[in-house]
Amino acid sequence: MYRVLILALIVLSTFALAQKAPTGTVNVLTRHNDNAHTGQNLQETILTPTNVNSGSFGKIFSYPVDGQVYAEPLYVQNLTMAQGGVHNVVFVATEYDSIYAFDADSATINPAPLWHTNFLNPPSVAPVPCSQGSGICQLFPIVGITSTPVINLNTNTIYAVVRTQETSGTTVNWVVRLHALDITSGAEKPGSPAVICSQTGNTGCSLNGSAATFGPHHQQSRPGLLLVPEAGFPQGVLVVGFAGDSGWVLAFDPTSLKLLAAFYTDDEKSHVAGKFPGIPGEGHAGIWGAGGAVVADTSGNIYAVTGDGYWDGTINWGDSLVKLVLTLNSGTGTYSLVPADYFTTSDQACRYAHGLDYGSAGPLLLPPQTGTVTNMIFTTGKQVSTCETTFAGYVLNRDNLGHTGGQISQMTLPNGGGEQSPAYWSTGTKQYVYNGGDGDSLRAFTVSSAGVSTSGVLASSIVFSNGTSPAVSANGTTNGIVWAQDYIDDPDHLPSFTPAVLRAFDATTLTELYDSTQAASARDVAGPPVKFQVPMVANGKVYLGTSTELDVYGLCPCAAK
Amino acid sequence: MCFRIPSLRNALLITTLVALSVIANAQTENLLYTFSETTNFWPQGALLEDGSGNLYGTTRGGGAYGVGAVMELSPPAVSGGAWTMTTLYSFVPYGGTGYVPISDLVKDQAGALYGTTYSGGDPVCNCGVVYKLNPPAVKGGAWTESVLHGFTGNDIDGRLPGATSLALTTKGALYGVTARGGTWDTGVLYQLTTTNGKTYTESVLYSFGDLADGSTPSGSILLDSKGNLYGVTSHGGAFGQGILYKFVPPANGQLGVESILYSFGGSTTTGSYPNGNLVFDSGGDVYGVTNGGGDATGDGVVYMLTPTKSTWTESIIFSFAKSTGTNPVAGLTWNHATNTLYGTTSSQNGLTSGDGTVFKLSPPAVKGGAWTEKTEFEFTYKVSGGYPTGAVTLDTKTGDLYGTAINGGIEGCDLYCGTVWQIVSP
Repeated sequence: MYRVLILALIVLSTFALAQKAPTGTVNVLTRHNDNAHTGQNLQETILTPTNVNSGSFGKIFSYPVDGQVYAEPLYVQNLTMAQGGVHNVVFVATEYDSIYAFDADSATINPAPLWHTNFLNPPSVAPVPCSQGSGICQLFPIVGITSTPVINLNTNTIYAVVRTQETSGTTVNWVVRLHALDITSGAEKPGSPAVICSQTGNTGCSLNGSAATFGPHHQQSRPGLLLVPEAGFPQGVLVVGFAGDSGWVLAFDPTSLKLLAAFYTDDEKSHVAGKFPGIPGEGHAGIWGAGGAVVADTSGNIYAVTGDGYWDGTINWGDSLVKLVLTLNSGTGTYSLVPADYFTTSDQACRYAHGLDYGSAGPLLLPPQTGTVTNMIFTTGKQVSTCETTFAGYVLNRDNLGHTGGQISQMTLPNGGGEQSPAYWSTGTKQYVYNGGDGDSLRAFTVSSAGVSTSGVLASSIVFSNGTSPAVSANGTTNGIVWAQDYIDDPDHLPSFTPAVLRAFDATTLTELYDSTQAASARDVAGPPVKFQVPMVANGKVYLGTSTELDVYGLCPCAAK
Repeated sequence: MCFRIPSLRNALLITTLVALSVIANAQTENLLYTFSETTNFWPQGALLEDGSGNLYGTTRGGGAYGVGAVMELSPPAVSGGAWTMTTLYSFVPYGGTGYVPISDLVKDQAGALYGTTYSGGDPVCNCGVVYKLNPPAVKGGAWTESVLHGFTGNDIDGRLPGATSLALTTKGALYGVTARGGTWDTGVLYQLTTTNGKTYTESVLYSFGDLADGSTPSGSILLDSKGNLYGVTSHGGAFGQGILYKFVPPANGQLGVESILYSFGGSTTTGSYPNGNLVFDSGGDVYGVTNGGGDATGDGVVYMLTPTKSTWTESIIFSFAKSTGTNPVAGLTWNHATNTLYGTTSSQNGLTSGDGTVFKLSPPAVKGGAWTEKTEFEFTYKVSGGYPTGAVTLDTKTGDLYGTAINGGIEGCDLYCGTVWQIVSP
């Protein structure tokens, strides 16, 4: 077995060149804009800190959808549709197992979806209620498509992981499929869908001979899908993360949809005697991460952060960040996802005992720095005084993760983490990480050759009671705006009535520029909120997925509804 | 560290007060039913009691399809036995019939139950329905659901019906509110009328949200003897923290008219963000609860609004604090026999266990005096349930109280699966 060694730059160049060059300004093809999850769109020339205010900016239209939108909307500009016409297109996936393609610029001209594909056929192929699966009803009421799909513009393909409940006679099967759709029509691509696992009851599938079983009754895919550059795969490798009976990272050939390799984080059979009397449905080192638990660098290394679970540093990986390398087994010609390095929190046992996920928040790969440590990762997670004397986030060395307690530095967080993903932006002279923990302000930490600041240097006056996953729009190093969803209602299991609030902040001061409650007559009111949601910014508009609709904000004229 | 040693007299006084306090809070809760993830779970709202002591309610989760159910709890044949939970109807997450029941139930003379769902219905909007459950012709048969209206959320119609019960008139008309939809997408007041009890016509009576109007109607509709409608919105108004409104229905060619009777949130000590059902007293005063306001930490209040010639005046009859439970959301229940009000607090910011309370408010002996609050029961999450979000149901024959706790009880569901409880004649 040996690692396919290709210079990272060659791989990167090959992959980058293979992508179509956008003709306009920007496409958003994956969660948080890129595989590092920086959340930044640096090609925004329309929205500026000057014109983003309630006098000139607001809600301009919305599209109703059939289920909650936990996945971040994606965006392709100037797309020639199969039915004719060229559109900027926003793609929306719902928990009701639908994917929509909407005109991104006008619901007045194009009130109906450009296409809408639903994967259900009730009653035989039904939506999966949240009562079926792990962490019963942490998402409510239907759990279908949660993870953000990913788009490959080379092949005009959007990939999504879909859960269904399928009945034949008296047998109910839980099915997890990988779908590949043509983004111009919504039609299945050849070979699609691929069944990842279909089983009845609580039985599962051994994936590529895995000792642990993948149980479709319980497994949920929350992390956004990634297309990762990899030698030998012109379209890269498709990477999917799961939580449930165990955390899983699966790697697929995006052309054939063949499963290349499977990595699991918890083999319960190996440690039953040592397991804490934990919380049902938890404690399995799930890869949750607020929709952003899996990231990748330009060399094709994959980083997955796990929730609370048993840890032994060999096959069980609770509360860890694991670096995975897709490795060719020369003898068999098969692939494996090999854990090449890891970081584990020093309080891992306490986290496992109390159900406190390190991997509740998504990691952020920082751009290369010039200091001693070139490549850093910013991570946070749940923290309570039960396990922590002070609340902290961790900065890791991507090239030497340091194993247990091996962080290179810690930053102080006034409140204990939560379910969010940070974002990054540079002014050219200052670099910021924007983090929004539960019950805390949106805080900016500085990044430099010396590392990440140990405390926030900027803070919003607004406190986000449920945390937030920010995104940044900027024209390169100027006109930086941090966008964030705020919400009061806990949408986990109580249907929400109070609208989500879209907030915009000056990225250099975190002074609020705009929020969707400011305009009179509820002009800019958003739909009820869902967690994990990231405002997506493209070509002068901001797209916010909610519990019932896609809301679109931009420069006015603005109109209620 | 030094301790101040109280005198014997003071020590006895303190001991006596503590003992009285314990006695005062020592109401016993009977746990009638504890839900699990394999049945129905997350009971919500108030229960409906029939003449035989059966309790009817809804759960947001569970049922045959996992997306909620209407259930009946029947008392044991022999005192002290177990209550029996029966699922009357399981909501279906496809087919347009609505799922995730959200409102309390109301019942007509024929025994049919009415309510609303948060999801389902119109396939594009997926924004809820008003449903009717008809009882079986033969006892033990299946209840049948019919959708009276699927909300469309267009520029006129509402969407996302509220979490409180519909108002049912003797003519079979139903009044309700939606939290969203309408002209401003901040909720509507709607009416369903019927001539045969089978087909219903929906009409939007009023769209909330223009300028300083209230938005997001959040409570039940209260009808007065003239057919006027009263309710609250949890947002909007002069201070953005909700209103009490009155709506005079259209009649004799005149349009219906909404008027704001009171805007909440005018100061830090008033209530804010009203919720739940309202009650009138014989003098025309309106009583209700707010989820926020009352003190710096916004723990909520019980208020009384008194009409005068030109305006309504708010009196805070009780302001919640961490020592009494916080953040009531369900509204009040009037016990006319004892002239007292009952309610629940929902919050985890409450007493020692922090999982909500059942409270009683007794009026002052002299008008204008202080009301007396008594915490009838304090929930203990993993035992008796937590976070009650429904109003108290009063058995007028026995004086017993019944209710739900949406969470707590036993493990299995996220935040546990919920309970149904009883407090015997407090």
